[in-house]
Amino acid sequence: MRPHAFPWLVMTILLASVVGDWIFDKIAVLHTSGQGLAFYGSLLRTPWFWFGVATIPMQFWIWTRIIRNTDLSRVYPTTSMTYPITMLIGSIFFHEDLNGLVWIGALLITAGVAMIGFERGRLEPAVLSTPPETDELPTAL
Amino acid sequence: MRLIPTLGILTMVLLEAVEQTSFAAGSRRHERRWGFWALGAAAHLAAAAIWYPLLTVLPLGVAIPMTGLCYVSTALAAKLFLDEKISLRRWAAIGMVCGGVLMVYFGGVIE
Repeated sequence: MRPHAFPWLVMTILLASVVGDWIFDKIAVLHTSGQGLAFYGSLLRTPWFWFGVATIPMQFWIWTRIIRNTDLSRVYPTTSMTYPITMLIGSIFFHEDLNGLVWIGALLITAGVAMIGFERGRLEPAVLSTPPETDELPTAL
Repeated sequence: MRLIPTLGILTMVLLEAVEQTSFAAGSRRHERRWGFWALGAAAHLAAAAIWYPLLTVLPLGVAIPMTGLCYVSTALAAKLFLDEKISLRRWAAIGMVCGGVLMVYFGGVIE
């Protein structure tokens, strides 16, 4: 066990870059138009898309720093906090209408995702080598 | 049932499992690694191609939690193709995620 203090600052930056990535994606999509290939063309032309892409190296770098210094089992569950945070931002800044069922379901998902990495009481790095993250896809990472 | 977002989510979740399993298989082998990494990259691009259009039809607060299903598909794919074990605790977690996904689906995807 590595007796480091919990890396609050770095985790906050990580969560901010993950949630920020998704916010950039949403804004990017609001700037698109057209169908089919024209949609993707307009997507690639909006800088918001590229801001989202730019968060990926930062996420990767911070994440590798975190797991080098802290037990994965302490850090990983915190990353599922991105789900409720994003929902709050969605409802406040994007005026999304999220009902009670969605909130309860999302909290269940958050708890389940936080637990899902645990095997025999500790996280196996192989399972979590990279969370299901893509430069555009969301993840609880 | 809203067919397009439903199909979009399911396809994306499957592609994520393919991506993660391919990358894991590629990193653990000593031969034909590049094939697995190429497959993973292709799956990633395909999933990304679905993600953006999906965001045009679903709110962020619904689409993001639904992607928690990727953890389930990846865990199951890892069990099937990489012979990884799933403990009882992890099955319980998978059950929680699935339950939550159903709630978000009926509360947020199906209007």
